[in-house]
Amino acid sequence: MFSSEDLSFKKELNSLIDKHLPEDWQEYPDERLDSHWELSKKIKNELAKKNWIAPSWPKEYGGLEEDFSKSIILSETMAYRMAPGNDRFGVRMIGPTLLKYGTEFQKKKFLNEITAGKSQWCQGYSEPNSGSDLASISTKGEYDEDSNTITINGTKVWTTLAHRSNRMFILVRTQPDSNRHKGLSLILLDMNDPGIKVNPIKNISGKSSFNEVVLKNVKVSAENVVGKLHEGWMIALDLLNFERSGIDYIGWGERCLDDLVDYCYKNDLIKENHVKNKLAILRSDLESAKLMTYKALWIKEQSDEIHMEPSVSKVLATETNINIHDFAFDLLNTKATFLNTKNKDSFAERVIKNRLFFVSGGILGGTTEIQKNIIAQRGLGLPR
Amino acid sequence: MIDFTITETQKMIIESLENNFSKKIDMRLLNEKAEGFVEYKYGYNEVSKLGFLGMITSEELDGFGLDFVDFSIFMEKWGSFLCNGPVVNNLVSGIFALQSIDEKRFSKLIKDLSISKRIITSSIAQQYESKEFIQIINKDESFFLNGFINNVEFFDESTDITIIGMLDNQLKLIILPKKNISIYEEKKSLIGDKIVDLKLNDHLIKKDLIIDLGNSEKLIEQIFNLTNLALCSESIGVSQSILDKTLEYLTNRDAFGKKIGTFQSIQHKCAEIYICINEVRELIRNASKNINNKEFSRLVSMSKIKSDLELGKISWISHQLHGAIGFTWDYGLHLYTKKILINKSLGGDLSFHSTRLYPDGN
Repeated sequence: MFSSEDLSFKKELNSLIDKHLPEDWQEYPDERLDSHWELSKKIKNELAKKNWIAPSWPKEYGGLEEDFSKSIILSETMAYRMAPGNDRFGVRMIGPTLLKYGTEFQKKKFLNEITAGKSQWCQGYSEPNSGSDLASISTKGEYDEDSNTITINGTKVWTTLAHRSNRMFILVRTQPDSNRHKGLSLILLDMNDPGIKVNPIKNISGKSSFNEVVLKNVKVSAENVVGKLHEGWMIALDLLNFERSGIDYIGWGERCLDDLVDYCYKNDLIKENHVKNKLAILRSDLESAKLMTYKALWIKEQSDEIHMEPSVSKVLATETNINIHDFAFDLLNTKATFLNTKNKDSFAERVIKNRLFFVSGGILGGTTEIQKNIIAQRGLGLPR
Repeated sequence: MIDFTITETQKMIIESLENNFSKKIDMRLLNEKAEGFVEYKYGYNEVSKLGFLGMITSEELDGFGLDFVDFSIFMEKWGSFLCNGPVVNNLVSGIFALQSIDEKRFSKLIKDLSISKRIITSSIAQQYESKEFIQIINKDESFFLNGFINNVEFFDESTDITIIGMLDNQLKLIILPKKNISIYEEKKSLIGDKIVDLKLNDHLIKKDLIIDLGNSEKLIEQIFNLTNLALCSESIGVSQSILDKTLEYLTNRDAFGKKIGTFQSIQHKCAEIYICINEVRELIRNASKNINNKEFSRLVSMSKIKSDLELGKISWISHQLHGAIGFTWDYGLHLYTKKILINKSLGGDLSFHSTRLYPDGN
């Protein structure tokens, strides 16, 4: 599947991670912690020095114009190593969107910032009353023709990394009386602009990886609208397709499964048929989900159309990752629920923390149920 | 290189089978065959006429010289039309085996198999999995075969049978002419195909029927893998037809004043079927592209595990989505389900393939 050149890149990338990640790193990145955030910036900076943040982007925007397989390796390896510094909002969501729809000004400014490792993006889509039904958003953007600015008022929610971000791409209703998919615009914001307040929300695993973002009279130049004003819906949807491949879940799931297999061999569990059978099923699930993820990314490279493959791969990757963690939890049992502070079992601790965190996988970026709607209606042509 | 392109050759294979089979499938006859009333086979003679029996035969021997991934795609289409005939046996246990051992030495036989002048059947996959091998006794360079060969398909139309024998603790591949082999027991498959068990009792053969001189274990494992993969591909084709039939039904059937395909609970089931078929398909195709990879056996086992678990499941979901009509004999959905179950029962169970992925004490 990968060329020898790809595999050399993977080896070099792992060496870079080895240099910066503490030995026996067992934690899922938690950028709420200052230490993790500093590590994230450091690794991002090292990747930037080698133009590895977005290796497939054009050279003029800080990429290497490499085959997209390098980007897959980058995302998957960073996830497998649980390394901070993988800017999925910048590199995998708004970046490709700007390459496709952005103005030259936007590309030069924002893409170069991303590849230099100087920015952290967050996504302003969901609102307190608009989640799966994204077209119902109500955050207002009032366009003033004289100053060519938009004034934004509203609240966004579940905004991952907003507390660390200096940039946000936000979907707002710029036509006051518009309905549903019409009259929406995708806008690029500076999180340091006056009027933006970020309130952390603690999640199920005890971390505050996401936030509420309140916007009060935030002024932004219309230069920062992606595509045409009031016509942002299709761009916003396309961006979601970049989000949905599920590649991170493949890396996280594979790491957990590899560690679990080691655990089973070391503890003589592999001889038990139900254990061996379940591990084999999970490995097969993971391999097929991985292939579907690669296929979704490959299709995205081949064609500008919106396809259903990212929905397929997101469902598979998130569910497989959860199934792997569930089985790990079943085998670890009380080791994962009564955390021993004296004889810390870092694998058990990681499994339960991650299992709780991964509840979010089937929700963010469009729930599993929304993905199935997309597959059934847009893909299989079943009537609405 | 990540590449999911369907090549022009593969498109040609798909198109050719669609053109030749889409109107030929006769559900009434298939149903009657399943009841044991008629002998009905279609597919084999047609693909033979189209030259597909020579699809993996090298171009030097007048074949197409195609890869296994092309064969895999062929098998998907073959399965989707519920075609029937010794294609896998001929190509894998016959042509592939002979080409792997010595293409030049067996050129005549390979050519004959490629044009259906001779037809090979086999039960190698089952022998390999069950480890029930024919014993070969060497008495002064006279070779005698003893033992049973179970669940052999297409025996009537075959001229030869490939079997695994054991001689001096080494596995040997033998291509045995059918004549003088007696049928020990006759059975019918779930869809009415004739299956036989054979018994060899001091069956004398010439030495040259043992087609390889060394230990054939690696080659036999490869035949087992490729046979399994071909059956998985066939099941994918069957499953695709199940999905197509289901979608057609759901977009035409009205209930509560609207098409039942508009209900979300039904749409989600269809999405799940689509997801299953596609993930298993890519796993199989990827394995087919990697037949010379050292991980090939693992890739095959994963394909088999996923095919058995997922494709079996989707056929039951499809029956549920069809409601009572899918429960009837005449509608014919049962034929697709049964074909998947037959393939699932062949080529090793979950425990067998799990051990290939995770050997004990390793």
